[in-house]
Amino acid sequence: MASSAIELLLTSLPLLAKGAAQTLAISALGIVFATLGGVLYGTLATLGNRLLNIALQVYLELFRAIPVLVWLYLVFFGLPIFFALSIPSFWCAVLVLGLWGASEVGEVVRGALQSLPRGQREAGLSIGLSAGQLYGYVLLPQALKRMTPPTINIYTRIIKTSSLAVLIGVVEVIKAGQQIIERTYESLLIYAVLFLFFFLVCYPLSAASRVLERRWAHT
Amino acid sequence: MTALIEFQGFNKYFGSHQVLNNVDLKVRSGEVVVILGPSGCGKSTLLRCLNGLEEAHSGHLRLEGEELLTRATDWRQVRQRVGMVFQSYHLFGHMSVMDNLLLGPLKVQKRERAEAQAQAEALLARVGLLDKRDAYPRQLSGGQQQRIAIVRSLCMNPQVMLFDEVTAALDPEMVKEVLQVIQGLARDGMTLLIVTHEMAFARAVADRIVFMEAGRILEQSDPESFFSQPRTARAQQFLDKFSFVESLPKTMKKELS
Repeated sequence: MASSAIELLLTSLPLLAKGAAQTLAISALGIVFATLGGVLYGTLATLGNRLLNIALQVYLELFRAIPVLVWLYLVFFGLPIFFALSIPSFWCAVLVLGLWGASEVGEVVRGALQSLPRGQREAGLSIGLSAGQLYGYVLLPQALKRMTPPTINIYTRIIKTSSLAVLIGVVEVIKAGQQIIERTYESLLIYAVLFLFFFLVCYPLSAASRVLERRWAHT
Repeated sequence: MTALIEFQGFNKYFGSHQVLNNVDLKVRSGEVVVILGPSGCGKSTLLRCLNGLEEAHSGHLRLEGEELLTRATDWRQVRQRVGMVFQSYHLFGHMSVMDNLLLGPLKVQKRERAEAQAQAEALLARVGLLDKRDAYPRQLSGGQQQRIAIVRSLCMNPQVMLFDEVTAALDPEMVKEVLQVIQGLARDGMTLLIVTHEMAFARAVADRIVFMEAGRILEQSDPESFFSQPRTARAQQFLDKFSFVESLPKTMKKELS
């Protein structure tokens, strides 16, 4: 039994590794997209432009109120129907995770920027900084400490949520596992491997988030 | 000679509340003007309008004869000519003292690092803080931070400096070191607009006192006549509040026993 389990693991490893690579690629791209979009969202949300704020609020509520799964279906099945625009399932997953993540990260960035003393903005303006310089040199660097721990937690949620991509046909790590189970019926072993995979990817992140939170608590 | 700064028929509202009411004020180059008045009289708002942190509603505001209350005004340009120091210093906490000082000269004015740094060091030495050039704001006392904030504005080579209650957040023993720096600037002939509650300092440093209440300028006069014989009853009342400690009965103990 033990030897056959090892044998099974060895033979299924290439398929699992391929799935894991898909999961990591979707997650990583989604995280990059979410981070860039989130910083942009947070910056725009603190400019004090009323029209812009309404637009951002609509965007936020759309991604809060509608499940990620529904977004995946909308983009994957809806875009071809309504806009004759067909995107490969891999990029659909990246796009939806990125947009959803950007709304989450964006709220964190907005909160971090708003928690800075108003005087920082005024002091920056008073020496003639442009809006871009003000955010780039003064506000965002100081908001970074406050936004990093919660943002890392969002990253782990993006990684876990990437498994929904299976429903639009991406063979990511869970789908790969299921394919092996269908052939071998070794569900316990394979799910143990999947558990270990997600744990090993996510735990260091949430541990890092906790350490940073503690270290920066008083600065 | 035209005034360096000129407010004319200047009005400003917060909602329906008028905080500045038909203000006329001229400041000549090299003049030290101290604005006094009770809290909420609009004196800080007046300073903030001058570098565009608050928007005016109507009237005129001219810097060297050039109208600022038009859409064409580039406030980034104006702010380089009008330095401002705040009550709570607002140094950039994530930057060393030297980086705080060089941000404007390097990024806004695009000056050479060597030249800007030489100026920053000279100014730091002048306020007695050259040894703090690599320190971070949180490592400094309030008085030290405020002196650095003054230097940060001076590094832009402004034509006028605005001081908005810059000693109000400081412990009494630190007030002196900051006021000495401002007095030094006044002696050098720099144009200064100062909002303060330090009456003795106002009397010593001002060329002219402007007394405001409820958004209006009630009187303008030289410091000696303002402090010895103010022309309005309201100013007299205001000054009485500050001298009330001196006028406390000294025989309190006897009265109690």
